[in-house]
Amino acid sequence: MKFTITWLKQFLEIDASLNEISLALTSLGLEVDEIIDRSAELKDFIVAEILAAEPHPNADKLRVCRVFDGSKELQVVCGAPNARAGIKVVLAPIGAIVPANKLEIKQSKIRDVESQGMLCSAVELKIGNDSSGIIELDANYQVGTPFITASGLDDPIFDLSVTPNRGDCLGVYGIARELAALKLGTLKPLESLPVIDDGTECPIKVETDNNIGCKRLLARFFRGVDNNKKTPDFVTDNLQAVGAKTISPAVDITNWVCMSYGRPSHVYDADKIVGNIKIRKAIKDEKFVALNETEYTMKGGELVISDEEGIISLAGVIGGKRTACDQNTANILLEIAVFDPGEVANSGRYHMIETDSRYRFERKIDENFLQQADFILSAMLLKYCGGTASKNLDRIAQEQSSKRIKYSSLLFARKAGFKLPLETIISLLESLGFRISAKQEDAFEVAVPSFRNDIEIAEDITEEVLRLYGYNNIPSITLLSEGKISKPPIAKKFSVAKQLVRLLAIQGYHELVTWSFMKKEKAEKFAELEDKIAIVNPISVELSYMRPTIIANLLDALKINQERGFSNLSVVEIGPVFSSSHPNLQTKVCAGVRSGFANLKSIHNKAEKFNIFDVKRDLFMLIGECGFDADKMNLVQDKVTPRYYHPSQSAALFMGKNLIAYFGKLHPQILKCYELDMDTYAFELFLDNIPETKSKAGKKIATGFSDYQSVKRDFAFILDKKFPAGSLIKMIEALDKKLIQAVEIFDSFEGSAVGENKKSIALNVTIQARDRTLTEAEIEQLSDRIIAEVSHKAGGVLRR
Amino acid sequence: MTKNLDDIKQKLPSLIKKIAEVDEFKHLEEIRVEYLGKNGQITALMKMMVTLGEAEKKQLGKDVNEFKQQVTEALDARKDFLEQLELERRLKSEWADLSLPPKFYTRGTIHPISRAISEISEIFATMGFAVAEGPEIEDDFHNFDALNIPLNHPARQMHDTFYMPNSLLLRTHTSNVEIRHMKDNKPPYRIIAPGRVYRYDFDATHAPMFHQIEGLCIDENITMANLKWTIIEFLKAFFEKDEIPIRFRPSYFPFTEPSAEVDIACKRTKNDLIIGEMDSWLEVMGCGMTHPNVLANVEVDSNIYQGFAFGMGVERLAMLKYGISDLRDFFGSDLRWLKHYGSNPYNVPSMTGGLSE
Repeated sequence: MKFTITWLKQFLEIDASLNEISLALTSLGLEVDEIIDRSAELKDFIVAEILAAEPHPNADKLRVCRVFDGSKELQVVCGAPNARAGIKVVLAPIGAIVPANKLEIKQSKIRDVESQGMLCSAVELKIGNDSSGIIELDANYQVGTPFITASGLDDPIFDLSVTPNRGDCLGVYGIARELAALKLGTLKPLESLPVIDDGTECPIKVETDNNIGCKRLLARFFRGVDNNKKTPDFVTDNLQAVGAKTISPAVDITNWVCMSYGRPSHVYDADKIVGNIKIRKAIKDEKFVALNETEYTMKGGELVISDEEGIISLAGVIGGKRTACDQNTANILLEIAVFDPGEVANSGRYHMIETDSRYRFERKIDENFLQQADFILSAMLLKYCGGTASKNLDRIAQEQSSKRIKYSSLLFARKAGFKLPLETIISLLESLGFRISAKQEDAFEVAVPSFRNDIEIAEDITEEVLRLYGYNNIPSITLLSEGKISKPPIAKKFSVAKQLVRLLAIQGYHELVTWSFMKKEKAEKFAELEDKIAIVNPISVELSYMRPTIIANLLDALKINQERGFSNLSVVEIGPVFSSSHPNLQTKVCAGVRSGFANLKSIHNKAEKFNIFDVKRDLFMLIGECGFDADKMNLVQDKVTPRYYHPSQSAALFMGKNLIAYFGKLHPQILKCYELDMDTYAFELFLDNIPETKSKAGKKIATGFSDYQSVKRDFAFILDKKFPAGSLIKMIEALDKKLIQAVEIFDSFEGSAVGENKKSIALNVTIQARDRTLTEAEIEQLSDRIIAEVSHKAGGVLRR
Repeated sequence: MTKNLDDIKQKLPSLIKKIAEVDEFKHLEEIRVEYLGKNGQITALMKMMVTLGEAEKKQLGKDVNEFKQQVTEALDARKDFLEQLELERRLKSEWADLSLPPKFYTRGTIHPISRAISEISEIFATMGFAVAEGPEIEDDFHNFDALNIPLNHPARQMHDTFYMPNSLLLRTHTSNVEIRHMKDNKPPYRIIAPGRVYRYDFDATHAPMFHQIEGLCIDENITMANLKWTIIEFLKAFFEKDEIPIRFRPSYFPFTEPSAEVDIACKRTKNDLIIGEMDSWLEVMGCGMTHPNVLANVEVDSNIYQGFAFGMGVERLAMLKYGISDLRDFFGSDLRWLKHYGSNPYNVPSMTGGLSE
């Protein structure tokens, strides 16, 4: 919402400074985006006249102009095709700084001809888009006066962001009304003289199918107007200052009223209307050419105004080209209507037409501001376009009754948290136009003014009181005395996730945050595409599909950094992944990749690449942090991991049927897609599938340390190459849980020494009893059982 | 016999002196063998003693022992000395060049968004707010309808939503978590909801995905004045300033009434933005008293319960606090940026141990 100070002053007696007005608007909830004050930037530019323009002796396209700046004659070289004698122009004298490029004008020679300034285009002054030539000012501009005052550009412009509930502030008058409520100025009375009509009825009748979509419509016929007149200066100045186009007096006047009072209306060229008009719903595939020269095909059901030939206006959104007013228009039909905000929003949104009218209807207009608008519009049309007016035709000439809300100073105190005297509350409300009645002790009834469509409940009234009282005057009262703190404040799942990232970062991982969506073509390299997780209205094809895995994005990160010369990298992200196989289409995953060298060659050690057991360690550590022993989970190696993993160097972990994690080496083909040179290992931990462990409130189970001597025994077994040697640990531990304290695998090798398709696994078993020192015989016996068990269950042969 | 003894006695001072001058272990050993060894002079004397009478034996024994003891002590002392000398020599020879680089050590970083969320959660934890989380693919009800944003409401356009098939959408705020929390639990409520949110907007200052923290506090007597206290205390704690000029101004959100936006004072210098110094105002969050319609939508009686809600953008707060200038860098995965703006994983934010790094 833009307006100038001069525009505001047409409705408000005000002496306050720009800064005071700005602060007041802010405190009222009307956010000031910008105050555009061009007086400083344009202060040096002068209205001048070209006395003569001669061709430049050394350049075809340049002219040498003799320019009068009000006190002296200057010679200025100009390249504009429209530079000619007799026109009034904007001169940038020596020393002026051109707003568009910030260049200072200096005395110079252009192709050997002296130039003492510059003649400016609209683009150079940042006041318009025309760069085809220099600005040609009206003849009535006084030569020698500063351009800024002559043009009215010294009028500061306010640009407000009005929240969507405040339709009443989408007119300058509404802003004035708010400032007046804050006692920052006095509101001027509105035009109240009834229209002097010529006694005729409106010759064009208005029919409706039903009243749905149009609560009220007021029409008036203007005869013998001259739409070729000049739009009054104040209207032109106001409109131009906020960047609105001026078209013709009749159209400009409706636009000005729209912006001044937030009241849209429309003027038709009455001679172009065929027969009577009708408010109806559009028929499917009906065509309509709007004022913006675009043809629209109706989807059917849009609220429209039509004559006997078809649609002449998309109600509340935009008028039609066929019935548009132009210079030759002699008779006008004025339409002031109350269209349903939903109807206007729907058709505007569907056809993607944004207009000032739609904007205001959507945010609700003052439904009782019809008669008044008729007075204002008719008076202006008669005054500036001439002609006579018919009587008005007012369908359903009924004012809406005002909403009433029960309120009390108690209600105020309960919500606000502090008390205000009843009189203060009432006086604040009254200054906003609310009427108070039925006062009983501290309670009363509030009648809402018709322009405040946003006020519906007592809470709205509380906001009004606070708004005017000043939000910054609300006291600050501690929350700690209210209610009680009973639960652990940080949810366990949330803190565990944070802890996991922390642990990984300690191990060298960098935490990333990457997009939840990606390119379809990328996603399909990782998973089967599913319609259910494709975004209907993506912002770009690059971000059109919800990620099926985080790994894809982590590989992007590796690629980006590899290109910058960092190819040894570990990265992790915790976030959602999406698939219809997850409940609610999503699940939370902690995913990490490691690539390149874990240790670079140095004076201390040899270079060492990451391998699969680095990520296995990381993953198992995380699972431990979640309160579970990954070694006790079910590790499944073949054909269980997604396609981006190496088929024989990857595995999944399950807890019952629940998938807990994947880990492994990434598939070389995937790495090739990303042009990654180094072997890369990954894990994905499905956090939502891990049961939440109950808090033991810090309690731990009692220890059972043994003080008797422990014995360590080494074993080496020859096993089939594909036998999961890791399972030996559980197998041996299960033999005697009391005596076997630990089983560790300390060596694994393959080669001719152990035979083809075989491997040798060396174990170290710790044996200890809690109640005695074991005898050699007992230890021997247990060793024999271990050997027998491995032989029996794993086909292992002891290496002697 | 006595002569031998006398000889030895006479020799003692020069022997002690000799021992004290020995500079090799093997010479010490030679002396030990000469006197105390199996065939040494002292040992020979001891052996001879068996042939002597009782009184003589006693006298001689005493003298021999004394001699033996003095020699032994001298030998031990010299041995210790030589050992010390030897150690010193060895240590000197073990000189190492400590200017060489230390062993390789990697440590990763915590992303600033994560860091900011942790810090913010810590502050609210001290005010009794628990953390709640919820889904990012949401339905109209939890994202819009329940929050008093009906279909044709202009506010739905403010949000510029990403839509998914089957009438689902990507949540535009984490307020959906508040709705779910209220539906699943009985009042009072005191939660914050951090998480990813999505809006159809992509330019230098908007990302289609960003992070929000929404907060909700509902009880019997929670007021606008409590809201103000909560926000002010939070901002002071987060930016670690005792006093920050903070401005509340009226605004509009369909799910709160009254509604407010919160600005903090800041000062822009050539390369920096200083929080808390009055020069201009910077919007940091929105808040307000939860709209009775919202409470009704989750079947909470607004005649008994009332309270406030607030929402803030994590990236924005992180940018202000840590001095990050470009929003897009958060999602750029640039190692150099991560090392610079990421935080040390050992440094865990807490209200007792220090919130910031």
